[in-house]
Amino acid sequence: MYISQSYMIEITSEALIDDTELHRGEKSYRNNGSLLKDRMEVDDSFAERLTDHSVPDVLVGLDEQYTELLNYINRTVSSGESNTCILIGPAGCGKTALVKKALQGLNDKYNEDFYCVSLNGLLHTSDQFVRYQICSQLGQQQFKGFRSDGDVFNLLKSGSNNTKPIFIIIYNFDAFVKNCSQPFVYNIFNIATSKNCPISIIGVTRKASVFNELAQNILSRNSYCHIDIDRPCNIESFIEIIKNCLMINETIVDDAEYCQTFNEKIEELFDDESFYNLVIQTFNFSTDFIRSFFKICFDAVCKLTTDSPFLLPEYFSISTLQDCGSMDIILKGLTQNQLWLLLAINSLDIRFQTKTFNFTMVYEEYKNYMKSYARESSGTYKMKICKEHIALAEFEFLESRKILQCADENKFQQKQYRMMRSLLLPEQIIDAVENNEKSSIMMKEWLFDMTRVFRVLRELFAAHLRHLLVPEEELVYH
Amino acid sequence: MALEPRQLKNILSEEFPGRTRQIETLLNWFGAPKEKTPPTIFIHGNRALGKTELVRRLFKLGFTSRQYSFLDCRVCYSAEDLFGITLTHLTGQQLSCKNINDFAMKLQKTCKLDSETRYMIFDNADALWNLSSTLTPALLTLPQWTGLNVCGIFISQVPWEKFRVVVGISEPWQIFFPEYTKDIQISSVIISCPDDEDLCFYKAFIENVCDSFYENCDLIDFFRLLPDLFDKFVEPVQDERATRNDISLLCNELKSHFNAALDKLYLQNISAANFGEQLPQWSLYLLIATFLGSYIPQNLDQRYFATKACEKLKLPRTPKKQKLSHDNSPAKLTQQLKGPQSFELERVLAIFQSIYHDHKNIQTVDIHQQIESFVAHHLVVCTVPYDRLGSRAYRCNVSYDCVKQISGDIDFDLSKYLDEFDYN
Repeated sequence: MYISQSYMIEITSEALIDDTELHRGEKSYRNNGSLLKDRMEVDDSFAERLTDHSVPDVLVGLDEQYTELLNYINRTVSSGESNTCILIGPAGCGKTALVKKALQGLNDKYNEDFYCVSLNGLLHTSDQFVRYQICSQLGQQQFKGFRSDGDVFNLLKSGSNNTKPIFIIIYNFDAFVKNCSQPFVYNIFNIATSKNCPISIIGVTRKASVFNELAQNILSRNSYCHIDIDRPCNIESFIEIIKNCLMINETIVDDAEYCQTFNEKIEELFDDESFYNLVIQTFNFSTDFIRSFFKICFDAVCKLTTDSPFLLPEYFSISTLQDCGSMDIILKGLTQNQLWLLLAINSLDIRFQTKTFNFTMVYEEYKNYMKSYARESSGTYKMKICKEHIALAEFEFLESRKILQCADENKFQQKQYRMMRSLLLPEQIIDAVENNEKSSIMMKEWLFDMTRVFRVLRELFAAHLRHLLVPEEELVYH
Repeated sequence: MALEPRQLKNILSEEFPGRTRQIETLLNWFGAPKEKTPPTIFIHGNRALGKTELVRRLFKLGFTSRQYSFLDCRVCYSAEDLFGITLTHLTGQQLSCKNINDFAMKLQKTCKLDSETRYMIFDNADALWNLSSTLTPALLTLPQWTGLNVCGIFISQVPWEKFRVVVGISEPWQIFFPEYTKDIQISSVIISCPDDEDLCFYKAFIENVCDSFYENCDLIDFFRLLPDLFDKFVEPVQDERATRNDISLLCNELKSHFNAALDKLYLQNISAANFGEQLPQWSLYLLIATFLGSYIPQNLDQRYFATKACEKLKLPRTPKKQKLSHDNSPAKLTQQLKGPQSFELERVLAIFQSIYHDHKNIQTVDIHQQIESFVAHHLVVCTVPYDRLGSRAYRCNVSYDCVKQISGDIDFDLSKYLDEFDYN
């Protein structure tokens, strides 16, 4: 499964040679031979850098962690020491890059005098898959013989000080612990702490609370080493990362002059106010800001042509990032009937204190309100109630957008009686009605009635809640 | 043969009005055949906005058949199918594949042959969650994990934030398809103009109809409605009551048909099966009894079904009608709103005896058998597992309309028992 770095490099260099007269070149002038080829190579290597397909040459701000990790794995190879080490950090902070880089560094030193097994908790979701992967990646092609976990453990244990050390790298470590059976995880860890065979486990995860989830007997087998990685915390390192990523050298384009001008233009980019603002904006408002900015860059790089072979500030635009749908957009696009249903759901929640409801209840609530409204306005208001089957269709629309979720396990329940749960907060419904252009005055009046009740109830709740301890929330990175 | 990007862009922009930006972005991301692409792309937008069609067209014109797989996750509802079909599309061979692990390795073998980007397209990707909780995160991480030049494209009507339920799920690059503006909607509907029809006349018709239906239905529904509406639109002309120039008159006439058209759209007129001809009368009474048993709370049994002798003993107080006004006190929901409740067999037998006076001629065995056959046809649902023989409980699964029709057929006064019902 694991593709070594060297293999990946081979593939790309092949691709570069094959690419000379294909495709994108056709778009521009064919006679402009040399520059054309250069540009394509720039494009290809940028695409690789910006889409997580390659590891950057320099890891900015991770020197300390790099040395630490390299030390650990170095000890395994040099003195046959077994270790376990968990890398914890949020998305896009460079965990994977760090591991790959460290292994690359080790490879340079020992020239592949070790085995590497890569596992991914999201892909290898059962003991069987993990077993199979370990065997096949260790080059044991006759895995038919390895039918039980015991065989694999024996294989791992069979090493001695004289055999090649094994690294087991587990990405999405939290999922691995969750999906594989506890004895299996325990045994793997147990082997990694035994003295005679050098096996190191490197776990990579985003979940900061991963240690709380490990069973006690597994924790006791863990040497408790963990490396915390964080995203760059200042704008300077962020800028450095961007520069590293956008600059090119002669290994990519065999034209020193072009490279130099290209890099100068990159430096100039940061003097441009709009570009600099864009950088700051991404840094401040995106969670995974490195990947987000790479996405902006990707579109900019696509605009490179033979006629304008340098990156210009106007190529970069924030619109790429905003181009994604969210619940808010869906809520803004709801029709009147759908808003009425949401209001009815909210009203049910407030009046009956019930979190689950079915279509009949919601429709009844809506109808009752319309009737009482008509009564109060003394018949001058001409009512237009949405028909039941149309309302049901709208109700199903809300379900298909995951605004409502089915809470009824009963398979053969008629659809108008199927119990549902709302996935929106009451505040979200209120906002949705207030911010929707299509909402009418009547809706807002109902909303006003409801919020009055809601406020009274909330104050009561707040008084009650003050006495309760709020449990510490799980720390999860996204 | 695959077209080159610029040509492709022009063709698609013409076919999909208002989608130029999305087309450009996608083509930019795909780049040259061997270039690396974003690992995963998530396309989101409401129903009938051209997401699937655009992607399908783009790949059909711009790529060769082995380069991409296209599958609808609602159609392939087992993981095995999903993997198998994807591999078949990409390799051209019939490959079977049981799990994600196997899939990743087979994919690796396939992609080693050449370095062209392979695309795996999953339409209705939200249905992937039904297969297993780890499948979607696994597919999302597949390109990065294997290091292959593979791009996963997920098309869904559900926004991305609903997918973000697992820690460690990799974020895809997103494209959003906004709603069409009215102009674009009109221009995309206009192509449905019949060949022998005058385009200007048809356009006037479309513009008029669009005003009323823009809010209520999407393009797919709209296309379904159009032929019938157009027939109605030209009816006065055919009856020679008007000419083709009296557009405003035609529009006015058409308005009366709007509601009927909308009704038709949502209400599939599946009439209640005509049990009346197939079942003996007592069975129909039994079915009504199950319905009553499901919808009338047990504490009202005495009031509705008790024999005269019991009635004299104790008259239960009639419960207060539910208040409709919106006051501040938390109210209680009536049982009818909560839907059918389960009941025990003994109770339904009692109700049956109370409403069907000839019950002495019918053997209990027959009743049991009849109920079992109701269960077999899902008219009645058994709510206790079969292994517990002692107490069987059932729930009626027939709608009010259907029961109303049946009771009408056999002259049974249903309203006597259902005065709590607020059915008009």
